Amino acid sequence: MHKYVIKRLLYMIPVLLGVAFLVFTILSLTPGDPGSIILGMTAKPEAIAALNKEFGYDQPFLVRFFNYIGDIIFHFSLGTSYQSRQPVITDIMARFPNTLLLTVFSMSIASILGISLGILSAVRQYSVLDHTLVVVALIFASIPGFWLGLMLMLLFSLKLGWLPSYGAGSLKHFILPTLTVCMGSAAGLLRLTRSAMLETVRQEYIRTAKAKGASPKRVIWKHALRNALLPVVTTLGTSFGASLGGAIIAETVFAMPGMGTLITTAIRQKDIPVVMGATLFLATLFSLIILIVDVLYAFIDPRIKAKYQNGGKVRE
Amino acid sequence: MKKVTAFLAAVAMMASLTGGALSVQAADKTDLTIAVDVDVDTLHSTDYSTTVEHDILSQIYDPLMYMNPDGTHDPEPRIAESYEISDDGLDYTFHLRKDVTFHNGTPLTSKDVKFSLELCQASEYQGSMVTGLDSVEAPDDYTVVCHLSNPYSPFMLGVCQVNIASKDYYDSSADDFANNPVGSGPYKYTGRSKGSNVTLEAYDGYYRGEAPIKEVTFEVIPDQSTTAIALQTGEVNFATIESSTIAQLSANPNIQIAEVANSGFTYVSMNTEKEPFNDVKVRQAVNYAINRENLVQVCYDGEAEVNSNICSKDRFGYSDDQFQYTYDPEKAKELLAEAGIETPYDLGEMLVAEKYSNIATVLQSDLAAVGLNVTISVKEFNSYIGDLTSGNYGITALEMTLDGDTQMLEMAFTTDYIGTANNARYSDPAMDELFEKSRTETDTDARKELFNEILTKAQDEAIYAVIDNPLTLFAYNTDLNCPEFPYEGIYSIYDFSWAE
Amino acid sequence: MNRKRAKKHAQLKEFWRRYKKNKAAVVGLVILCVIVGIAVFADLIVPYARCVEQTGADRLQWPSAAHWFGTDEFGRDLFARVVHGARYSLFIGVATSLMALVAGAILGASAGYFGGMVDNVICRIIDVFMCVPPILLSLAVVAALGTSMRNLIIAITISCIPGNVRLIRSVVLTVADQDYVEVARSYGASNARIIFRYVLPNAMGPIIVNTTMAISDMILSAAGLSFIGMGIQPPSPEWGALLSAAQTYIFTSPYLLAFPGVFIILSSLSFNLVGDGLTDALDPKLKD
Repeated sequence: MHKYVIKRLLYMIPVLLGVAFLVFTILSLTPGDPGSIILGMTAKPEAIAALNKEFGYDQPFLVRFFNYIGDIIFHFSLGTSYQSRQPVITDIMARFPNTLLLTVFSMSIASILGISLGILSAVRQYSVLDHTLVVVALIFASIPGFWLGLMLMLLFSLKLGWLPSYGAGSLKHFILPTLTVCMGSAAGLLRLTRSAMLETVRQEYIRTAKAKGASPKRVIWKHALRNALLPVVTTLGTSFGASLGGAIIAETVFAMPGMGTLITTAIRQKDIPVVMGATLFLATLFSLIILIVDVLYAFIDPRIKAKYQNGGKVRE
Repeated sequence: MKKVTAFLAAVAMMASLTGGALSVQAADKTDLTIAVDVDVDTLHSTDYSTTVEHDILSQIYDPLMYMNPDGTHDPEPRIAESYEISDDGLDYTFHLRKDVTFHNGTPLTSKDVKFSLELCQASEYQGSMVTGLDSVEAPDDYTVVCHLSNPYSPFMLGVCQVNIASKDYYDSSADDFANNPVGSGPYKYTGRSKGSNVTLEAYDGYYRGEAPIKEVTFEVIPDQSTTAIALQTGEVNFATIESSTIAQLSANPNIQIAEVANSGFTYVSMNTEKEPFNDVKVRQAVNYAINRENLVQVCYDGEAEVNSNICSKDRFGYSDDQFQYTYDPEKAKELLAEAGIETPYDLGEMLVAEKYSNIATVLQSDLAAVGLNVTISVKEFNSYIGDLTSGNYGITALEMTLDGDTQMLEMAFTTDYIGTANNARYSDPAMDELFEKSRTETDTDARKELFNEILTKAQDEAIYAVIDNPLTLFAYNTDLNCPEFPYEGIYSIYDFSWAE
Repeated sequence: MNRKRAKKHAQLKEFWRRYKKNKAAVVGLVILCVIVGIAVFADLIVPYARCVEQTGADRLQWPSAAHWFGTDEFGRDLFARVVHGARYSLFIGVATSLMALVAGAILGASAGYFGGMVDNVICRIIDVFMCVPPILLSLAVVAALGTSMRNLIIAITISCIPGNVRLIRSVVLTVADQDYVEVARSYGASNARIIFRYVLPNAMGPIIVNTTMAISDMILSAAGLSFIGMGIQPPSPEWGALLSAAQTYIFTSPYLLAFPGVFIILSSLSFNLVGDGLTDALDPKLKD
């Protein structure tokens, strides 16, 4: 097992290098240079050139890229922000906890809501409850995140005055952003769980269990659920990326200092070190989460565990 | 089902936390929350670039003297209690107060002023404040002399904007200097949370007496609708707002709105190096084609002053005698016919930054009404600026601020500034010479006449099609006493106080 | 030939019989037809000129007989803008999903069918793309290319190709092992022919469902990008752009947010409902 984990960890290196190269290339294609962006329209060309030189922006593309990678490998440094002139890592550390909390809150609420209601819906297939749940879930999956966020803010902050409208100072600041992010993913998970449950119920071994005279409750909880949750768990890992997208929108609406607002602002200002550092940070985290999910998966599903132990390659 | 119960418990817990979230304002309130739309990147005394950074720094640092930006008032004493200018206009002598201390307790002396002016002069960011400065001398602890190489009449206004910082503090740590500023102004910096807020506290050793507002928090709220909600819930006490939220905010009895005149202007820039904008008649036609009153209603909800003159009405040099373009589509059509333009005529792309796309949308329909067709091309701000400064455009619309002395308008008109702020790429030796004269002229009346000539020429040749001066809008809690905001809307929290 | 047609007909009938059982899906189909109808016949419903015509005096009017959905901050008729906006929003949704489908089909099918080196290279590239959150990828691409309808479509498409490649690859993997593919191979059919004639058509079910639902996601992504200010050029009335412009008027003119919002939700919902119905109708296991 640990052999597999080490192999996967080593495999992250080329992927992250790929991510670095991809983002660096796209950013280099964006028009404008950091010097003129910072100093503005009335600045003298000499001042702009001097500032660009200070940032090393006068170097050709590939030189800049290898310098950047070199800094990470040899100095463990993610570079210095063009705008704030401070190490990028301090920017990331100031904001990452908020995004992490927001993502963890919304993912957990989404999975609790989505999975439990999904099971409920599958167990009572074709009942009024099932239809209502499915339709409500579809409606939530169809609402643009920022629209939902604004509506929640109008209701809970302005009309009712229960919740703060901006910031990240305390737990209660997280309620509205969490709702904004989790409703969509909860809806998705509900549908997924429901269809996975219905799928497993139709499998041979369930029929066998039923034929053997196991109670319907036992069939659902013991046999069906465990197998139905497999695809759901895999999706949880990959949907981390999606809920981060939701977090970006929610952070903008609720003025929450997080990774999303950090990266969007930095993209606009062409603050390459910040965009690179933050994206690599998230990509690393994302790869690690996928790895953990895969390992967990092996624990839930003995068939796959056997494969790892034989050193076999997994095809998804 | 256990999980569901746990979830409900969590919701209940969160809900209980919110009880009394938005407390009613206490009678003896001494703190103030201000919303700003972007985070600060630095708090370096001279290497800053945004309005928000400037606004926060001006609470922490004091200048040599305070000058109202309209250029008509006498300078008020601050760190310097008096000043003289030599007859030849080359030496500016400042006499400093002896009781000024920095927030870390060290006294402020002439070496700090000399250091600050030199730091500013070397700055790529704010170096233009001390344009004309040759060298600084500190003959004794409380006297500073600035030497100029040539007389430069706007020098006084510029030098009065420089933040005076501590030399010893800079020498001890350049990093702290940029991130934990120590000034001599009414407020000392107490901390910041990146992306979230900056906090200040009244400095008890301030030489003009301690400020009535004790704690100030600048909260970063990028979204305008969120700011408006936070103002209404009382989470924020003071903010600069956009005109679109003014209808809602002014209907709220707890919120006061202040509209402050500003030298910034909205304008159409036409590339005079390109056909057909090299023809003065075409530029005049564009000027007549714009329905300025309508544009101000639509794009600024009426919160802007219609003005086709690049010089705002409160600014030195403005006169009602200078020509004003008004909405006259018939005249525009006549001028186009005289210029030999057959309408409908395709002007090509109107390049515009995302922020100004609403202005372009209105202009597009105004221009179409006189037979000039444009397609709108929206660009991201930074790439837009690149195209604008390099002259890679035909017609565009934007807002600009050339604040400070009226001399700053040279950036829009003189040959030296082609490639930076002279977007029309206008070049005329006569215009260059007029600005050269006004730069060195020290007599007020003579300068006024020079600016009159310049502005009349600018209007005659329709170098730009200026539309209006947008007002700066402040929304604040009714219980907050704010003295009248000066022209340009630069506020000093020192002057604010809560009603008893 | 006739027999083949008759068989097709019977299949369709069977398909419709199963689709119809899902009432919500039928409702979704009706909504979808109405919205597509609006988009197709927009010019007949209200001329395009009405959605760019500005009357400053009539700005920010609440809904009335003259302006069914009210007017925006330029005094433009919101009804006309929403009707013509259907064209833009649906076009963006459909175009991006189809382009991502084509790209995903080519890459995913090659990876799944050929395996080995080809599979390895494609998968590694996809892994790289999967590590960057889709919205950030779109944002960066729009920042690099500039804002326009074309660039918006490119940006959204790129961000959703990787998911498609994965899906199609896994579907192809299961199909490629089937007997009839073996048979075709033994007849000496070319690789391209096998992929397009036998493998892809048999993998069509999940792909169609996924694409239908993707359209709904793409409409929402486009609206999200418009919200962050990286949408399409004015005065084009894309729904997301309508919402984002109306945002600051949320207090005094909430109808500006309500109407385009409802249309986005309805169209996105209808694609999801239809997708659900297709899942049921195309799933052979559900035959009863």
